[in-house]
Amino acid sequence: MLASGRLFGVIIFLMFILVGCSKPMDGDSSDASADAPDTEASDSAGAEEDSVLVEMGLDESADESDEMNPLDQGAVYFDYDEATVSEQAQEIIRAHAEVLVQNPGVTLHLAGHADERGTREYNLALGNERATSVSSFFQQFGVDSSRITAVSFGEEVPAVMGADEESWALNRRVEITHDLMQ
Amino acid sequence: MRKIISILAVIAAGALTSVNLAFAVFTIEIDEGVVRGIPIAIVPFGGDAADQFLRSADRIISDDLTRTGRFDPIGEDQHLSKPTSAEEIRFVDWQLIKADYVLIGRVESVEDRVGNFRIITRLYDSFEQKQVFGVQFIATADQMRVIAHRIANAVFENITGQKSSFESRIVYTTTIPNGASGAAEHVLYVADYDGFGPQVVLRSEYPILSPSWSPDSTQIAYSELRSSGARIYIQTVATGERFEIDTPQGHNSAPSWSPDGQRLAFANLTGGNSDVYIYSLKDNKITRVTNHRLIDTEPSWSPDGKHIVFTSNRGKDPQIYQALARRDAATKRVTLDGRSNTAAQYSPSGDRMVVITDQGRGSQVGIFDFKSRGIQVISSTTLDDSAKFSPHGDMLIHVVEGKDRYIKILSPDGRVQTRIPVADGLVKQVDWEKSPQ
Amino acid sequence: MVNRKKSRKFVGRSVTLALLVHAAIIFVVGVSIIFRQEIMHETVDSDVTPVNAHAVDEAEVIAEIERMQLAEERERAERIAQQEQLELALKQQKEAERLAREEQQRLAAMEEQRLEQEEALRQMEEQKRQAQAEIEAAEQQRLEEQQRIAEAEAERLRQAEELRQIEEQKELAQAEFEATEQKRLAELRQAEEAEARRLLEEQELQALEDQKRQAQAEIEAVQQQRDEQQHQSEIEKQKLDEEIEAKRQVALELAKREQLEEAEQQQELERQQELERQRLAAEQEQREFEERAQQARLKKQQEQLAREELLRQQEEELLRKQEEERLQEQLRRERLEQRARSEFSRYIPQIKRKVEDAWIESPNSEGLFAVLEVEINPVGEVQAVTVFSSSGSLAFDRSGTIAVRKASPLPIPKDRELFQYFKRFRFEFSGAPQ
Repeated sequence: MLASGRLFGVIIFLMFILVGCSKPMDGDSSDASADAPDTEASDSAGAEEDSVLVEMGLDESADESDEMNPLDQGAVYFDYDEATVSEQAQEIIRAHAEVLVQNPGVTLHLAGHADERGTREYNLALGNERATSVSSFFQQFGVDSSRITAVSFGEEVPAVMGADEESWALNRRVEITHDLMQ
Repeated sequence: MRKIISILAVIAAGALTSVNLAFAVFTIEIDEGVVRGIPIAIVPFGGDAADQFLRSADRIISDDLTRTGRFDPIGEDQHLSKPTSAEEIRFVDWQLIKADYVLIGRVESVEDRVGNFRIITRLYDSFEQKQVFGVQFIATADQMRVIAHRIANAVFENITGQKSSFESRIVYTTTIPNGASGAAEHVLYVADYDGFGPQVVLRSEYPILSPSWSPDSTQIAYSELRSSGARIYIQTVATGERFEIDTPQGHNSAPSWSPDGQRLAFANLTGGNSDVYIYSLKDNKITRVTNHRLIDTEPSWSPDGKHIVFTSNRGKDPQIYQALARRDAATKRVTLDGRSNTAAQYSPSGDRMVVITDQGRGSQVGIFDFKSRGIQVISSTTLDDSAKFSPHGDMLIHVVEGKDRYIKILSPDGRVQTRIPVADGLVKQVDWEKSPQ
Repeated sequence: MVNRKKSRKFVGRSVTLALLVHAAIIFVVGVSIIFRQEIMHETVDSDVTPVNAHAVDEAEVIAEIERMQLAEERERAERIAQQEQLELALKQQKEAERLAREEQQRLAAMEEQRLEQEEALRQMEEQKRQAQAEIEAAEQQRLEEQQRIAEAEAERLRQAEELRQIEEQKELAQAEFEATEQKRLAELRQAEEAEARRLLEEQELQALEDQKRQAQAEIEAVQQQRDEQQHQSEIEKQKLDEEIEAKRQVALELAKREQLEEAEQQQELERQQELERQRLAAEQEQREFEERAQQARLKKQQEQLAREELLRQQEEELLRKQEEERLQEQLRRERLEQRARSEFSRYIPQIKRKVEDAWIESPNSEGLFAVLEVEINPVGEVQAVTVFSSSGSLAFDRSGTIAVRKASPLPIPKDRELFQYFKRFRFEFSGAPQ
């Protein structure tokens, strides 16, 4: 009984080794794929927003063009309970930053928001974290901190009313506003 | 000497006989009962003035008792008789339908300074076949609900030996998307615990956050979310007067009264950071309790006023941490289970906490037990927020978010979940009075 | 035998060696893995956006992987077309070589297997022998065990018997003790009575003595009177003499009177003597009377004693009978109680279940403990429930009372003779932790 137990232990250990060996081998590919879905996720979030806009009957021309102007994007989006700025969001921020650098008189306003999940006070703090993250990227891209105001509205001012993943994805955002936006 | 000996002999003889005669009484151990509501029959009240007064008293009493999960009122359709006075009680009728207790009452019109109705009510133990209590009230018609809650409280206290929260009030916030001005309107309401008699305390163009009753029930602290940042106000309920407390720059929110009513814990957000502070109402001094680059918010005091629990994401997932209520206190993590645990509030007895917990199904109301350190999920909904204990710990209240927003009352074991009416708009947060009048 | 031992030793040694080698390999592999994992961790840690990994949608990952795989596949197909022929030749050659190698390996393996089988057979044989020995030993042990158990049982029975005897002796001693105690009490009572009687007799004797003393005093008074009279007469005689001397002249006339007087004197003397005689006779009579009375009293006393003795004996007899009856009654009761106990205990689980099903326990009753006493009628219907010992919580006590009431009728043994033993029993309610 004891011997078989030990044998079992050895088997488990060997399996562990096999798994462990296979992991670093896959490492590179998983790293590579980790980047890809990120952009895709953001794309889909953008696409969802478009679809919402369509539903609202606002702008259908945006749907036609394959390549979107980052400056058309007045907001960057986040994952659930996250304040990390995705690469795609960074591109949007960079585009805005370039315009702002060329127009030194213009001020930038950032408003952090969260979806309705989680408590209101925590979401207020989370929106604040998101706005601050976006603010630090603007500064990194050359916009002086004195030109930026960042606030949080928590989950108090949702962009979309709705209790589903699509609505929530659109509500987890930092809204970027300045005078140079089209 | 001889006498003493003879007395001793008599005692010895007596002792021997008694030992010989007595035998050990059989004993059976009973250690596992059933968990369910106590069956009680609440008979509609009779008397000449029953129709004018307390028409729905039995309904109010029945709802009160049901919400605690401790009672299981038996429907009127099952009653075999409708007694309204002591003479009309037939215990066998109630034993047959297995009602442990029967509540009856009469309402009579009287000429009295205090009111023009006399309400006499009696509770019976139908198996012991005796009266548990009998009370009478003199009241006016507009005191109907209060009297009904008071009767329910007498029933609860006499049967369970504990106090009920049937006569307490709640405060809640709503947002009316298209208010009078066309823009969104934010309202602060005070109402009976069961949602009846809502009174507007504040209407604001700004979102109102985290209403918190003062321990003496006279004031409510809350924050108003403006584009320049959130500000904390204290408003006197009776007069509507309010003042802003002197807080640091940035967002100031999540006010929470200390049990002695002298201090207010709150969260301050500056930069990407959020920390817990204490504001002293006596000398306007501010003490920083936590200092961490990540989020620390939603402070809540222990009943003894020594500790503050708060939500922090310092360990990646938001969890509940505890600190001494003083400057730069050392903190320790309290909750260990689940993806996240937020917005903790101590139970009145201090041995448990209610939290908003995510155990993989969404945001739910959970009870954390300080002894077992485990969390028991008690709500069936998955978009819960703002969960609070009743003043006597006999119920809990919380908001359900999502498409259909409402307030729910839970029994402490979650077995009974009842929805209560909300005045107007989309309900956001709720707080339960701490010391009912 | 020696050979086998040696070979086993050899096998053992080679197994150890093999294990060591394996362990070494595993260690090396393990270390290299741990090392690799550490490196991996570092790369993850140094990544500024650890969250990205979390953000990945699984479907998207799979799609991406599939896309990449398709590209690779196309490329590979081209390469394969170019190298196909070359590879085919190579493969054939390699295949032939591999087959030859495998055949060799197979043969070697078969040989090895055969040897192993032989060894295994030997070992099985050995094991069988050992098992046989073990079985025998076990059998032996079992027999011994049985023997021991039997002895222990015998011992237990003996001890039980002794205990029983001791118990009986104890009971006997008890009975004796009670009997002697009764006797002693009776004796004590008797002694007290005797004492009282003695005191009474003493008082009577004292009274007689007093009477005697009074009679003596009377006699002495008479004597004194007599002495005084004598003295008086002497004085008178003297006076007479003086008168004779004085009246010498009328002596002759007086001679006759003198003679007369003498005669009178003689008469008086005789009277006196007669009185004395009478007195003595009275005294004698008194003495005789007293003696008779004394004798009568003694007789009466003896009769009384005999009567008492008889009564005492009768009483003792009665007591002894009563005691005997009492003991028998007690024995009967004990047997009945024993029977009641075993009968009742068969019903306990049913009663317990019925009451527990009816008991609605309050959620915060941990640590509460109440004892309720129930009184039932012969068909098990609950007649009364009383709180024998309160939990301190009225609500808890009442929840128990109601449960017992609701569980009525309780399932109880049908035997009416035993009913008296459980017409009243108790429930111990203890609050469970939440």
